[in-house]
Amino acid sequence: MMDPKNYRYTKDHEWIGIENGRGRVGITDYAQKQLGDVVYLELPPIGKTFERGQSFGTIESVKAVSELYSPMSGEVIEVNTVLVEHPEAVNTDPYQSWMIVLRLTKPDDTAQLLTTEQYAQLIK
Amino acid sequence: MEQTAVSDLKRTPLHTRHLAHGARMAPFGGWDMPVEYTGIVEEHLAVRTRAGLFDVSHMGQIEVAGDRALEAVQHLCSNDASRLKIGQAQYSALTTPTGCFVDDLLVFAPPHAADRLWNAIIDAGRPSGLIPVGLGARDTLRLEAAMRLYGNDIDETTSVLEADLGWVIAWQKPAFNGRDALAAQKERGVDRKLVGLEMLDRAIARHGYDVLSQNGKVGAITSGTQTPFLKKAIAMAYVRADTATEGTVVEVDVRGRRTRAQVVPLPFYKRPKN
Repeated sequence: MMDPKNYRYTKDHEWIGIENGRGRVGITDYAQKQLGDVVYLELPPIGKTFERGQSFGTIESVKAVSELYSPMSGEVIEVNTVLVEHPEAVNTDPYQSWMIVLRLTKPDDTAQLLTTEQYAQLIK
Repeated sequence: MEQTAVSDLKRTPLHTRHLAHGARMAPFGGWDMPVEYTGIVEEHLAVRTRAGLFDVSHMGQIEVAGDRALEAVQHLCSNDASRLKIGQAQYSALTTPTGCFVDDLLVFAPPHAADRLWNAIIDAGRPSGLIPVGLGARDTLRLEAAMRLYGNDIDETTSVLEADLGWVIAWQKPAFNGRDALAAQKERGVDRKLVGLEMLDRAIARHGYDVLSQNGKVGAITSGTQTPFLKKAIAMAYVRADTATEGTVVEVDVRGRRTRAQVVPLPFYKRPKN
Protein backbone atom coordinates (compact mmCIF):
# COMPACT_ATOMS: atom_id res chain seq x y z
CA MET A 1 0.00 0.00 0.00
CA MET A 2 0.99 3.59 -0.56
CA ASP A 3 1.95 5.98 2.20
CA PRO A 4 -1.04 8.27 3.03
CA LYS A 5 1.41 11.19 2.76
CA ASN A 6 1.31 10.66 -1.01
CA TYR A 7 -2.48 10.47 -1.21
CA ARG A 8 -4.59 13.27 -2.68
CA TYR A 9 -7.76 14.45 -0.95
CA THR A 10 -11.18 15.94 -1.73
CA LYS A 11 -13.05 18.59 0.22
CA ASP A 12 -15.66 15.85 0.83
CA HIS A 13 -13.03 13.90 2.81
CA GLU A 14 -12.20 11.11 0.39
CA TRP A 15 -8.59 10.11 -0.30
CA ILE A 16 -7.13 8.66 -3.48
CA GLY A 17 -3.79 6.89 -3.85
CA ILE A 18 -2.59 7.14 -7.45
CA GLU A 19 -0.17 4.63 -9.01
CA ASN A 20 0.32 3.65 -12.66
CA GLY A 21 -2.87 5.31 -13.88
CA ARG A 22 -4.97 3.69 -11.16
CA GLY A 23 -6.52 5.28 -8.11
CA ARG A 24 -7.38 3.53 -4.85
CA VAL A 25 -10.20 5.35 -3.02
CA GLY A 26 -11.22 5.59 0.65
CA ILE A 27 -12.36 8.11 3.25
CA THR A 28 -10.20 10.09 5.66
CA ASP A 29 -9.68 9.71 9.39
CA TYR A 30 -11.56 12.98 9.88
CA ALA A 31 -14.52 11.59 7.92
CA GLN A 32 -14.71 8.34 9.91
CA LYS A 33 -14.60 10.32 13.17
CA GLN A 34 -17.49 12.50 11.99
CA LEU A 35 -19.50 9.46 10.91
CA GLY A 36 -18.97 7.42 14.04
CA ASP A 37 -19.26 3.63 14.02
CA VAL A 38 -19.55 2.47 10.39
CA VAL A 39 -21.98 -0.44 9.96
CA TYR A 40 -22.76 -0.65 6.25
CA LEU A 41 -21.11 0.02 2.94
CA GLU A 42 -22.71 -0.02 -0.50
CA LEU A 43 -20.20 -0.12 -3.39
CA PRO A 44 -20.64 -0.20 -7.18
CA PRO A 45 -20.07 -3.23 -9.42
CA ILE A 46 -16.83 -3.64 -11.38
CA GLY A 47 -17.04 -1.99 -14.79
CA LYS A 48 -19.10 1.00 -13.71
CA THR A 49 -17.72 4.42 -14.66
CA PHE A 50 -17.87 7.64 -12.67
CA GLU A 51 -17.10 11.27 -13.34
CA ARG A 52 -15.16 13.25 -10.75
CA GLY A 53 -17.55 14.29 -7.97
CA GLN A 54 -20.19 11.67 -8.81
CA SER A 55 -21.53 9.46 -6.04
CA PHE A 56 -20.10 5.94 -6.32
CA GLY A 57 -21.70 4.47 -3.21
CA THR A 58 -22.98 5.06 0.29
CA ILE A 59 -21.54 4.58 3.74
CA GLU A 60 -23.76 4.22 6.79
CA SER A 61 -22.88 4.71 10.40
CA VAL A 62 -25.20 3.86 13.27
CA LYS A 63 -26.44 7.44 13.05
CA ALA A 64 -26.71 8.35 9.37
CA VAL A 65 -26.17 7.68 5.67
CA SER A 66 -23.51 9.55 3.65
CA GLU A 67 -22.69 9.54 -0.04
CA LEU A 68 -19.24 8.57 -1.26
CA TYR A 69 -17.94 10.84 -4.03
CA SER A 70 -15.44 9.81 -6.65
CA PRO A 71 -12.29 11.96 -6.32
CA MET A 72 -11.45 11.43 -10.03
CA SER A 73 -13.07 10.15 -13.21
CA GLY A 74 -12.59 6.51 -14.07
CA GLU A 75 -13.79 2.95 -14.38
CA VAL A 76 -14.15 0.65 -11.39
CA ILE A 77 -11.69 -2.25 -11.82
CA GLU A 78 -11.62 -3.54 -8.22
CA VAL A 79 -14.06 -3.50 -5.30
CA ASN A 80 -13.05 -4.26 -1.71
CA THR A 81 -15.60 -6.98 -0.90
CA VAL A 82 -13.76 -7.85 2.35
CA LEU A 83 -14.43 -4.31 3.56
CA VAL A 84 -18.13 -4.65 2.65
CA GLU A 85 -18.25 -7.62 5.05
CA HIS A 86 -16.25 -5.78 7.76
CA PRO A 87 -17.09 -2.09 7.32
CA GLU A 88 -15.98 -1.32 10.90
CA ALA A 89 -12.37 -1.41 9.59
CA VAL A 90 -13.04 2.06 8.14
CA ASN A 91 -13.04 3.33 11.75
CA THR A 92 -9.93 1.51 12.91
CA ASP A 93 -7.78 1.94 9.80
CA PRO A 94 -9.29 4.52 7.42
CA TYR A 95 -6.16 5.01 5.28
CA GLN A 96 -5.76 1.28 4.52
CA SER A 97 -9.53 0.70 4.10
CA TRP A 98 -9.77 1.26 0.37
CA MET A 99 -13.19 0.85 -1.21
CA ILE A 100 -12.67 0.80 -4.98
CA VAL A 101 -9.84 1.02 -7.49
CA LEU A 102 -10.45 3.23 -10.52
CA ARG A 103 -8.71 3.04 -13.88
CA LEU A 104 -8.32 6.79 -14.27
CA THR A 105 -9.68 8.32 -17.47
CA LYS A 106 -8.83 11.97 -16.71
CA PRO A 107 -5.41 12.14 -14.99
CA ASP A 108 -5.65 15.96 -15.01
CA ASP A 109 -8.36 15.70 -12.35
CA THR A 110 -5.53 15.76 -9.79
CA ALA A 111 -5.33 19.54 -10.28
CA GLN A 112 -8.67 19.74 -8.42
CA LEU A 113 -7.46 17.67 -5.45
CA LEU A 114 -5.78 18.68 -2.22
CA THR A 115 -2.31 17.67 -1.06
CA THR A 116 -1.84 16.21 2.44
CA GLU A 117 -0.81 19.68 3.71
CA GLN A 118 -3.77 21.43 2.06
CA TYR A 119 -6.17 18.84 3.45
CA ALA A 120 -4.70 19.18 6.94
CA GLN A 121 -5.31 22.91 6.62
CA LEU A 122 -8.95 22.31 5.56
CA ILE A 123 -9.89 20.24 8.59
CA LYS A 124 -8.01 22.42 11.08
CA MET B 1 -33.94 22.53 10.58
CA GLU B 2 -32.76 25.97 11.65
CA GLN B 3 -29.14 26.24 12.67
CA THR B 4 -28.61 27.64 16.12
CA ALA B 5 -25.31 29.31 17.01
CA VAL B 6 -23.43 27.28 19.61
CA SER B 7 -23.45 30.32 21.92
CA ASP B 8 -27.27 30.38 21.88
CA LEU B 9 -27.57 26.77 22.95
CA LYS B 10 -28.74 25.92 26.42
CA ARG B 11 -26.44 23.94 28.68
CA THR B 12 -27.44 21.36 31.25
CA PRO B 13 -25.91 21.52 34.76
CA LEU B 14 -23.59 18.68 33.65
CA HIS B 15 -22.20 20.49 30.58
CA THR B 16 -18.69 20.89 32.03
CA ARG B 17 -18.68 17.17 32.95
CA HIS B 18 -19.35 16.26 29.30
CA LEU B 19 -16.48 18.45 28.09
CA ALA B 20 -14.20 16.95 30.76
CA HIS B 21 -15.05 13.47 29.46
CA GLY B 22 -14.11 14.62 25.93
CA ALA B 23 -17.63 14.16 24.55
CA ARG B 24 -18.48 15.07 20.97
CA MET B 25 -21.13 17.75 21.44
CA ALA B 26 -23.98 18.67 19.08
CA PRO B 27 -27.11 20.82 19.14
CA PHE B 28 -30.21 18.84 20.12
CA GLY B 29 -33.56 20.56 20.57
CA GLY B 30 -31.88 23.84 21.51
CA TRP B 31 -29.41 22.22 23.91
CA ASP B 32 -25.67 21.57 23.54
CA MET B 33 -25.67 17.83 24.25
CA PRO B 34 -23.14 14.95 24.22
CA VAL B 35 -23.69 12.70 21.17
CA GLU B 36 -20.95 10.25 22.09
CA TYR B 37 -18.01 9.93 24.47
CA THR B 38 -16.18 6.75 23.42
CA GLY B 39 -18.38 5.69 20.48
CA ILE B 40 -22.01 4.63 20.02
CA VAL B 41 -21.27 0.91 19.76
CA GLU B 42 -19.09 0.81 22.90
CA GLU B 43 -21.60 2.87 24.89
CA HIS B 44 -24.53 0.77 23.68
CA LEU B 45 -22.77 -2.45 24.68
CA ALA B 46 -21.78 -1.00 28.06
CA VAL B 47 -25.44 -0.42 28.90
CA ARG B 48 -26.48 -3.89 27.74
CA THR B 49 -23.67 -5.75 29.48
CA ARG B 50 -22.45 -3.45 32.30
CA ALA B 51 -23.80 0.02 33.08
CA GLY B 52 -24.13 3.49 31.56
CA LEU B 53 -24.77 6.98 32.90
CA PHE B 54 -27.00 9.43 30.96
CA ASP B 55 -27.60 13.15 31.28
CA VAL B 56 -31.33 13.58 30.70
CA SER B 57 -31.63 16.96 32.41
CA HIS B 58 -32.50 18.62 29.06
CA MET B 59 -35.83 16.80 29.06
CA GLY B 60 -38.82 18.94 29.88
CA GLN B 61 -40.46 18.57 33.25
CA ILE B 62 -43.75 20.07 34.35
CA GLU B 63 -44.53 20.28 38.03
CA VAL B 64 -48.21 20.00 38.85
CA ALA B 65 -48.82 21.08 42.44
CA GLY B 66 -51.81 21.92 44.62
CA ASP B 67 -54.81 20.25 46.25
CA ARG B 68 -56.33 19.14 42.94
CA ALA B 69 -53.04 18.26 41.23
CA LEU B 70 -53.91 14.56 40.96
CA GLU B 71 -57.31 15.36 39.47
CA ALA B 72 -55.68 17.58 36.82
CA VAL B 73 -53.07 14.93 35.95
CA GLN B 74 -55.76 12.26 35.74
CA HIS B 75 -57.67 14.38 33.24
CA LEU B 76 -54.63 15.22 31.07
CA CYS B 77 -52.97 11.80 30.94
CA SER B 78 -54.17 8.40 29.79
CA ASN B 79 -52.64 6.27 32.56
CA ASP B 80 -53.84 6.03 36.17
CA ALA B 81 -51.60 8.29 38.28
CA SER B 82 -53.56 7.49 41.46
CA ARG B 83 -51.65 4.19 41.61
CA LEU B 84 -48.33 6.00 42.17
CA LYS B 85 -46.55 6.05 45.51
CA ILE B 86 -44.05 8.83 46.38
CA GLY B 87 -40.81 8.35 44.41
CA GLN B 88 -42.40 6.09 41.82
CA ALA B 89 -42.71 6.93 38.14
CA GLN B 90 -45.24 5.87 35.52
CA TYR B 91 -45.11 6.01 31.72
CA SER B 92 -48.14 7.84 30.36
CA ALA B 93 -49.49 9.68 27.33
CA LEU B 94 -50.37 13.37 27.44
CA THR B 95 -53.33 13.08 25.07
CA THR B 96 -55.18 15.37 22.65
CA PRO B 97 -59.01 15.23 22.50
CA THR B 98 -58.62 12.83 19.54
CA GLY B 99 -56.52 10.42 21.57
CA CYS B 100 -53.21 11.34 19.93
CA PHE B 101 -49.98 12.41 21.62
CA VAL B 102 -49.19 15.93 22.82
CA ASP B 103 -46.17 14.12 24.27
CA ASP B 104 -45.23 11.05 26.22
CA LEU B 105 -43.94 11.52 29.72
CA LEU B 106 -43.03 10.00 33.03
CA VAL B 107 -45.27 11.04 35.89
CA PHE B 108 -43.48 10.97 39.23
CA ALA B 109 -42.98 12.51 42.63
CA PRO B 110 -39.60 14.31 42.30
CA PRO B 111 -36.22 13.98 44.07
CA HIS B 112 -33.23 16.31 43.25
CA ALA B 113 -29.97 15.72 41.35
CA ALA B 114 -26.64 17.59 41.06
CA ASP B 115 -23.26 17.86 39.33
CA ARG B 116 -21.57 16.25 42.35
CA LEU B 117 -23.81 13.23 41.99
CA TRP B 118 -22.53 12.65 38.43
CA ASN B 119 -18.90 12.44 39.59
CA ALA B 120 -19.84 10.21 42.50
CA ILE B 121 -21.68 7.78 40.20
CA ILE B 122 -18.87 7.75 37.63
CA ASP B 123 -16.31 6.98 40.38
CA ALA B 124 -18.44 4.39 42.14
CA GLY B 125 -19.39 2.68 38.89
CA ARG B 126 -15.94 2.53 37.35
CA PRO B 127 -14.97 -0.89 38.83
CA SER B 128 -18.12 -2.43 37.35
CA GLY B 129 -17.45 -0.90 33.92
CA LEU B 130 -19.91 2.00 34.01
CA ILE B 131 -19.26 4.70 31.38
CA PRO B 132 -21.09 7.90 30.38
CA VAL B 133 -23.48 7.40 27.45
CA GLY B 134 -24.46 10.04 24.87
CA LEU B 135 -27.50 10.73 22.73
CA GLY B 136 -26.28 8.48 19.91
CA ALA B 137 -26.34 5.27 21.96
CA ARG B 138 -29.42 6.48 23.80
CA ASP B 139 -31.22 6.38 20.44
CA THR B 140 -30.03 2.89 19.45
CA LEU B 141 -30.78 1.58 22.97
CA ARG B 142 -34.29 2.97 23.10
CA LEU B 143 -35.02 1.60 19.62
CA GLU B 144 -33.86 -1.91 20.61
CA ALA B 145 -36.23 -1.64 23.58
CA ALA B 146 -38.95 -0.28 21.20
CA MET B 147 -39.40 2.88 23.23
CA ARG B 148 -41.29 5.36 21.04
CA LEU B 149 -39.49 8.64 20.33
CA TYR B 150 -41.68 11.72 20.21
CA GLY B 151 -41.39 13.44 16.81
CA ASN B 152 -40.32 10.15 15.15
CA ASP B 153 -42.67 7.40 16.24
CA ILE B 154 -45.44 9.33 17.94
CA ASP B 155 -46.89 12.82 17.58
CA GLU B 156 -50.16 14.74 17.41
CA THR B 157 -51.33 12.69 14.40
CA THR B 158 -50.76 9.20 15.86
CA SER B 159 -53.19 7.79 18.40
CA VAL B 160 -52.16 5.91 21.52
CA LEU B 161 -53.75 2.74 20.08
CA GLU B 162 -52.08 3.12 16.67
CA ALA B 163 -48.75 3.43 18.52
CA ASP B 164 -49.63 0.08 20.14
CA LEU B 165 -49.38 1.68 23.58
CA GLY B 166 -52.78 0.48 24.78
CA TRP B 167 -51.17 -0.50 28.09
CA VAL B 168 -50.84 3.17 29.11
CA ILE B 169 -54.61 3.65 28.79
CA ALA B 170 -56.39 3.22 32.12
CA TRP B 171 -59.83 2.33 30.74
CA GLN B 172 -61.19 2.16 34.31
CA LYS B 173 -60.91 5.96 34.51
CA PRO B 174 -64.36 7.33 33.57
CA ALA B 175 -62.88 10.35 31.75
CA PHE B 176 -59.61 11.82 30.45
CA ASN B 177 -58.62 13.88 27.45
CA GLY B 178 -59.16 11.71 24.34
CA ARG B 179 -60.89 8.81 26.12
CA ASP B 180 -64.02 8.91 23.91
CA ALA B 181 -62.00 9.01 20.68
CA LEU B 182 -59.83 6.12 21.86
CA ALA B 183 -62.82 4.06 22.98
CA ALA B 184 -64.43 4.52 19.54
CA GLN B 185 -61.18 3.56 17.83
CA LYS B 186 -60.85 0.47 20.00
CA GLU B 187 -64.41 -0.53 19.07
CA ARG B 188 -63.92 -0.33 15.28
CA GLY B 189 -60.21 -1.25 15.22
CA VAL B 190 -57.21 0.81 14.05
CA ASP B 191 -56.46 1.37 10.34
CA ARG B 192 -52.70 1.39 10.89
CA LYS B 193 -50.41 0.16 13.61
CA LEU B 194 -46.83 0.64 14.77
CA VAL B 195 -44.87 -2.58 14.19
CA GLY B 196 -41.33 -3.85 14.53
CA LEU B 197 -39.42 -4.73 11.36
CA GLU B 198 -36.30 -6.80 10.99
CA MET B 199 -34.46 -6.40 7.70
CA LEU B 200 -34.03 -9.62 5.72
CA ASP B 201 -31.82 -8.02 3.06
CA ARG B 202 -28.61 -6.14 3.89
CA ALA B 203 -29.81 -2.57 4.34
CA ILE B 204 -30.78 -0.10 7.03
CA ALA B 205 -34.29 1.37 6.94
CA ARG B 206 -34.35 4.97 8.17
CA HIS B 207 -37.00 7.48 9.24
CA GLY B 208 -39.34 8.41 6.37
CA TYR B 209 -38.60 5.49 4.02
CA ASP B 210 -41.69 3.93 2.38
CA VAL B 211 -42.94 0.47 3.33
CA LEU B 212 -44.39 -1.41 0.34
CA SER B 213 -46.35 -4.55 -0.46
CA GLN B 214 -47.15 -5.94 -3.92
CA ASN B 215 -50.05 -3.49 -4.13
CA GLY B 216 -48.04 -0.36 -3.38
CA LYS B 217 -47.31 1.74 -0.31
CA VAL B 218 -48.61 0.35 2.98
CA GLY B 219 -46.73 2.51 5.46
CA ALA B 220 -43.58 4.40 6.45
CA ILE B 221 -40.54 3.86 8.68
CA THR B 222 -40.47 6.00 11.82
CA SER B 223 -37.11 4.88 13.31
CA GLY B 224 -34.41 2.52 12.09
CA THR B 225 -30.81 1.57 12.77
CA GLN B 226 -28.26 -1.20 12.85
CA THR B 227 -28.24 -2.35 16.47
CA PRO B 228 -24.82 -2.94 18.01
CA PHE B 229 -26.05 -5.52 20.54
CA LEU B 230 -28.43 -7.65 18.45
CA LYS B 231 -26.28 -6.99 15.36
CA LYS B 232 -29.30 -6.69 13.07
CA ALA B 233 -30.93 -3.89 11.13
CA ILE B 234 -34.20 -3.10 12.89
CA ALA B 235 -36.91 -0.48 12.44
CA MET B 236 -40.31 0.63 13.60
CA ALA B 237 -42.97 1.61 11.08
CA TYR B 238 -46.65 2.43 10.83
CA VAL B 239 -48.20 -0.06 8.44
CA ARG B 240 -51.76 -0.79 7.30
CA ALA B 241 -53.52 -3.02 9.82
CA ASP B 242 -53.75 -5.90 7.29
CA THR B 243 -49.94 -6.01 6.97
CA ALA B 244 -49.26 -5.67 10.72
CA THR B 245 -49.37 -9.40 11.52
CA GLU B 246 -46.12 -10.93 12.83
CA GLY B 247 -44.28 -12.81 10.12
CA THR B 248 -45.62 -10.69 7.25
CA VAL B 249 -42.88 -9.91 4.72
CA VAL B 250 -42.91 -6.37 3.33
CA GLU B 251 -40.45 -4.29 1.31
CA VAL B 252 -38.72 -1.08 2.30
CA ASP B 253 -37.70 1.46 -0.33
CA VAL B 254 -34.08 2.17 0.68
CA ARG B 255 -33.06 5.09 -1.55
CA GLY B 256 -34.66 3.47 -4.60
CA ARG B 257 -33.68 -0.12 -3.76
CA ARG B 258 -36.48 -2.48 -2.70
CA THR B 259 -35.28 -4.50 0.29
CA ARG B 260 -37.20 -7.17 2.21
CA ALA B 261 -38.18 -6.89 5.87
CA GLN B 262 -40.30 -8.99 8.20
CA VAL B 263 -42.80 -7.91 10.85
CA VAL B 264 -41.48 -9.06 14.26
CA PRO B 265 -42.76 -8.68 17.83
CA LEU B 266 -41.79 -5.63 19.92
CA PRO B 267 -39.60 -5.00 21.80
CA PHE B 268 -36.58 -6.20 19.85
CA TYR B 269 -34.67 -6.50 23.11
CA LYS B 270 -36.07 -7.39 26.51
CA ARG B 271 -33.89 -7.40 29.61
CA PRO B 272 -33.60 -10.94 30.97
CA LYS B 273 -35.36 -11.31 34.30
CA ASN B 274 -33.09 -12.40 37.17
